[in-house]
Amino acid sequence: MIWNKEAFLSRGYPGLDGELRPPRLEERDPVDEAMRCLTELAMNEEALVHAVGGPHLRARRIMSLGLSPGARVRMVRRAPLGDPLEFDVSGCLLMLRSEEAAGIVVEG
Amino acid sequence: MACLADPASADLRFVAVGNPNTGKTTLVNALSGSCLRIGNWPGTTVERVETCFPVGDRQACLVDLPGAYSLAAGTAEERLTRDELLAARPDAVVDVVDASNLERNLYLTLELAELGYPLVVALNLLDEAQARGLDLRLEVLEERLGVPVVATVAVREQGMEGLVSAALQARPATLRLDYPESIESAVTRLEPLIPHPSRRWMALAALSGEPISLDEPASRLLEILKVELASLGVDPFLGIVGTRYQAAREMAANVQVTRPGAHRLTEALDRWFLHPWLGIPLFLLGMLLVFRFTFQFSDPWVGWLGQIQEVLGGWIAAMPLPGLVASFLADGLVGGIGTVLAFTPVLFFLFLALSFLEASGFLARSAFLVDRLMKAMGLPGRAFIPMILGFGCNVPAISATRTMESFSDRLRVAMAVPFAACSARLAVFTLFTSVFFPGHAAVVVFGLYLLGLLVGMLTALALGRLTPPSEAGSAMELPPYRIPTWKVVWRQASARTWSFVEGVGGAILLSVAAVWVLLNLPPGDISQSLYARLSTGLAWLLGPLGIHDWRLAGALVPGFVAKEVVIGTLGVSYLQADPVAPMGLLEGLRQIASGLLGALWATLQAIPALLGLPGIALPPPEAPEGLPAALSQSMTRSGALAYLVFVLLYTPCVGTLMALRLEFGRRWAALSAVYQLVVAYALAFVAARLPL
Repeated sequence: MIWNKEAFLSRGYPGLDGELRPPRLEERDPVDEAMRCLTELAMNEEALVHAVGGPHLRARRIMSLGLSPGARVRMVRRAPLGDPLEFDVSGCLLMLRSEEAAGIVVEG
Repeated sequence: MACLADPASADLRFVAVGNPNTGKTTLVNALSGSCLRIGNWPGTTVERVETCFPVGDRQACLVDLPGAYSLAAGTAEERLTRDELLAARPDAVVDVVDASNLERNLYLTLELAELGYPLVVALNLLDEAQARGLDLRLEVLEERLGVPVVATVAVREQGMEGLVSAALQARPATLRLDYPESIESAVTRLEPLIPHPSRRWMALAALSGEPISLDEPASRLLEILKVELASLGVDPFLGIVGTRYQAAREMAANVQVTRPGAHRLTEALDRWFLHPWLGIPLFLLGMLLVFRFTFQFSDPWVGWLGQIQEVLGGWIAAMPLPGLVASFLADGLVGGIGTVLAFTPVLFFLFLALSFLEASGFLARSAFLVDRLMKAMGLPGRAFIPMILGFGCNVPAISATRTMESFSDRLRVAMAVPFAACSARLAVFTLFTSVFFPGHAAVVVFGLYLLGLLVGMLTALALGRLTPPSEAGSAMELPPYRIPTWKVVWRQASARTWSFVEGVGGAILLSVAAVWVLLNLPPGDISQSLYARLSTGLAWLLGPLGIHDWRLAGALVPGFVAKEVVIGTLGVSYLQADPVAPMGLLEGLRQIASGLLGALWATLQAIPALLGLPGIALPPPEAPEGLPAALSQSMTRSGALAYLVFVLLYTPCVGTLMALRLEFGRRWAALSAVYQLVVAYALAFVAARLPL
């Protein structure tokens, strides 16, 4: 599945003053087909974090947990009831709800 | 070693800073010897741990700042840590770093380096990292940062002397990160206008959009700089944070000769505990074990405390005192202290279990398992444990809401917790159901538990509609499993129990004394007392619920002290109190001593019993002889059901109310009390009309 650019844009990107703004992806590498949402990783698949989206506070929190652009991330498991997802970020295990993980763009 | 009375008079002030789950608290414990102080940060419910120890001929005090992933204040803990760091320059910042997770931990280290304070890095959990095949070059880290780096294993108290002597030699870091040129030049212009030793860090924080309070000229310049950067197309937040992450990643790569392998224990345990099918049953089994542990271990001690109370009553009866004075001493004073103390074994063991779950990593797993369920109520997964603990005792459940980050989530859970049928209410349930529903006691009690759970959940849900969801989201770390040190768990549990006695004891004593006054004045027959008059008024109010007997209505008032007191009061008002038999000094001492031995023995016996099959039968009701017969004549079955529903839901006991006040303030505690009275009345009104 191709990463949904529209959905990501509508979620906004952490900007100055906590205001939401659309991600300025054009400044970075061009978005290509290799980019996906974090939720789209298969079990045990690894990828590189490209950008972190969502409300400012939430994105900052996710980044401070180690999921920042440039970090390697691996999908570990889904919770028994289906929702939160567990990720391995260079040896550290994190739990994210799927709507939070959906705001994170990964490549590779 | 004598503990320093006033930490403010210490010669040296150290602060410990670090990511959560780096063993920081264990490290502070290992440094402290026996002078640990646990309290709260002023005006907050974040735990404040401080310790003082001698360094040569000087006294040093070390404050454990709350865990933080960065100095950008995302959580209440992080805000506190940042404010505390900016408020005063410490003699050394001890940065506790998880050796196996350098990449993320070094981000905070870089920020601390930018503060410009004397810094020392404690590379903790090194044994764990090495067991995972990690090989580190400490000297590279030392050289890059320009501050001393000490390897420590806090659980085994290794590296502590080295850390203290390094802290004495701590110096500001020499490392200086290179930010993109546009940001760097903005910082250079802003810095001179900030009169603070950490002006570089503050300038960077202000530029990246942190709410930092600046003087008038500085904040005006800040606005100009932000506009300039925006016109250059530079997002300072991304530029600054990105540079730091990049630097942390590079530094970690340089320091690590080999990368750590997987955490074997964590992988193995998670395979079972987070298993798609087995995970949830195992978790429920674990919670059952926590409850059995708490009650089987605390029961003997509650019994022993009751025995001491009886002996004291006997001694007082043996003294030549006027009847009213003796009664006040025995029932008012000793009874009051006894009520406070009766809480402590249950609290201590529940807190012990909670501290263990927290420190071992199980608490985070439980949040992962049930997050989906809690999400349906608009709550984070972490809300589950406090809600479940409420079935043991509401007081620790309300303290346990501290493990959640957002205030509104905490408040919602705390308003729901008092509806959980705690073990004290079970005593009332078993008595009444055995009298009025002999064949179906278990069904009725189970129904009451369900009702409490349902009302609590609806409360949390309704409050969630009124408050906006927390912005920070529910992302969190699942720390690796660790076997916590006994010392840390024990200390944490005793400190939390003690803070209950300190904060709540007075209020319980006062309310027991007030109940004594009601029951005993004017002296003589209880049916002429103030209590009887008040109860007659109450009975009129409770008439629509099918509760007409003043003795039944009245017992709800002392039930406010602790719900199990309801039975004792019913006993007194139906059957008159038994006179207390006087007791000799030696006989009393003998009873206390043999009771102590008995309690110790019973605690030991509880260990194998923990693993036995859980009993599903209700415990036999404990009540004075003759009370069941008296009760069965004073109300109908539907009245009894209404009474039980009312006892389940009405105003929480004074301990719970005080815990609510400690955590959320007077107004929320009062609101909770009123809300519960209204809910209890409404549902008992319905219950009284059920066709039985």
